[in-house]
Amino acid sequence: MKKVLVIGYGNTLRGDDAAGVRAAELIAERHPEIESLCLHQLMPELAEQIAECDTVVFLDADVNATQPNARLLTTSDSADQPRTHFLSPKSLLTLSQQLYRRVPAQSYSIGIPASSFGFSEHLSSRSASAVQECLAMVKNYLTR
Amino acid sequence: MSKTITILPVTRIEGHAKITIQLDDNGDVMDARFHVNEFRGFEKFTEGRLLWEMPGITSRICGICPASHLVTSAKAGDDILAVEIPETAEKLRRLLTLAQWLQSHALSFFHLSSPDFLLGFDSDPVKRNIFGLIAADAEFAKRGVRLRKFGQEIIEMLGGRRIHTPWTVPGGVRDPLDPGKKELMLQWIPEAKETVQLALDTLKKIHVKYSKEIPEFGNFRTLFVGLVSKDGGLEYYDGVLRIKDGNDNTIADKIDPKTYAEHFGEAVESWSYLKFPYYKPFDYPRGMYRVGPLARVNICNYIETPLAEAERKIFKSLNGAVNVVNNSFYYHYARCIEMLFAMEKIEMLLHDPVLLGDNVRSLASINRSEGVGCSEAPRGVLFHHYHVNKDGVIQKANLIIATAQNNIAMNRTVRQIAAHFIDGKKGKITEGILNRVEAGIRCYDPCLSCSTHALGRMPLHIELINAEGEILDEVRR
Repeated sequence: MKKVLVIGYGNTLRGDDAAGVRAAELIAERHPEIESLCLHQLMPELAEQIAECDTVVFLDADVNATQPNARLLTTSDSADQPRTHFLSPKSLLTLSQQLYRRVPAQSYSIGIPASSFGFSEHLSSRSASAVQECLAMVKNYLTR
Repeated sequence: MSKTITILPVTRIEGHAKITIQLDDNGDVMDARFHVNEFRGFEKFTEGRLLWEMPGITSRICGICPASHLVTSAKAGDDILAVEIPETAEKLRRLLTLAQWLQSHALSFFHLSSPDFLLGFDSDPVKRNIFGLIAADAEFAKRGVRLRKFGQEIIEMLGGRRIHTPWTVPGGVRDPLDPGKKELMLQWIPEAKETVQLALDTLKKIHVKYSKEIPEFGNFRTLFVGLVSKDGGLEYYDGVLRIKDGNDNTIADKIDPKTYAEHFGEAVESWSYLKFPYYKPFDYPRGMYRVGPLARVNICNYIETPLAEAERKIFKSLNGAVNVVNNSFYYHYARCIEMLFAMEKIEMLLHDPVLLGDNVRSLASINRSEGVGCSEAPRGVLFHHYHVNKDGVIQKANLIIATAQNNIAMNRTVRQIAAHFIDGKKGKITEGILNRVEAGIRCYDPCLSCSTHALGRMPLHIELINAEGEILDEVRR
């Protein structure tokens, strides 16, 4: 059985910034067989866990997106300059490759439209609906 | 005409900031400022929430030191409930705080600062990061990741989640420690101890390698503020406040943290969202003080664990007879000493049978309308101050974070480094020099909080300012 890891991250006190976390929470509810993490931000020690997976899916708020968009991730020697306190998915994958010599066969990053970042524990209606669309995308990737 | 050099953003610190270095007509550094661009409003946001929610809410301020907010918020709640928490609960909170120190200090030393030291300030900036470090010494980098993981795993095993766990609550903690988890924690100890020793050995070589540069990294006298135990030992969870000066004189001692507002004020500058706390009797900005590892190791009389105490004695001798270390570069050394202490103390706590007790929470209603919580976060002393109504609804909250308390000193550090390394007459600012300025800031390991990472990619603002304060140019991107 494929080992799948879903990572949703963002700040749950800042409105739509939590879109990735909310999506990961729903995946955990609906697909208990999938390991789903809800995090404030991506941190270096995740590299070890990611290295042990067959598929990893990152879910994040995307201020520039108009609809959920998925990108296939690859490692790169020129991954964005890691600021380490908040690694990007690409930096984290590169860290897995360089430290543990292994990355998942499939790695995706899904951006969820986000526009409202005020102090709130609720998503905007647009973002909430995009979370639902995102769930369908994740399911699609996981059945490949 | 004067000109301003802007470094934006400052890399490898938590949050978003920029530095401006203003040159005078002669090309000499006239001023340098560390600006914080991100605005947080958590204090206002918490008004109207219940006291019992506060640990969970305030821990979401930050993805790096949530456990410190959890503990400090719960302590403010203890004060409002007017309860003494069970001994087991206090020891579990202490364990959580030490795990927080360990993971945060490991991140700061191994990942954020080591690339500068081990690859060199003048090395290729594209490679001067964690990936460059892996290429140079993969085992060193991997050990740093695992040390941080150890701290994170303790936090997760105690609270059930890595971050933002609402496990600490007013009156104690929610659940006792499972004995099986304690055994898992103990299994990590030998490896973690070895890694901390590796950090210390590496750092001592760095001190030799950069012996000529270190004197310019924030080397000036300030006050030092932090908690000490009632008999003057290094403290991280409770105790009293002590204030010492840069000549090792005790300015004030045995201050009840609940009275913090009588001793510390907060100044505001138009060019930064970060406030500038100061020691009131000395006024602003003369009341500049430093908090965090450098302050804690400077002000304490002793450290209760043997290996850390031996290192503290070496640390205290760095400045000869003065017996106090004023140079901010040695934040790194103090941080490593604290990692050693945290390791030793975690081991001691894990062998303490009280830790497995099942009485972990004192239950009470609202008994006071106001409460203050104080503990030592990795970056320094942290205060949470709440006012509540009879139902426990927050009417007003004030949080004084560690990074803000170092704000005046961080600005002074930037100015000192800039003045020493930048020669404006040559008109050339190398990447290595700029990175030294940034490295000066990284000594403090500031946590400006990326309260929303999507907003963190917001447009940036750059200003060019002349000697008269006029804006010569303004760029938004």
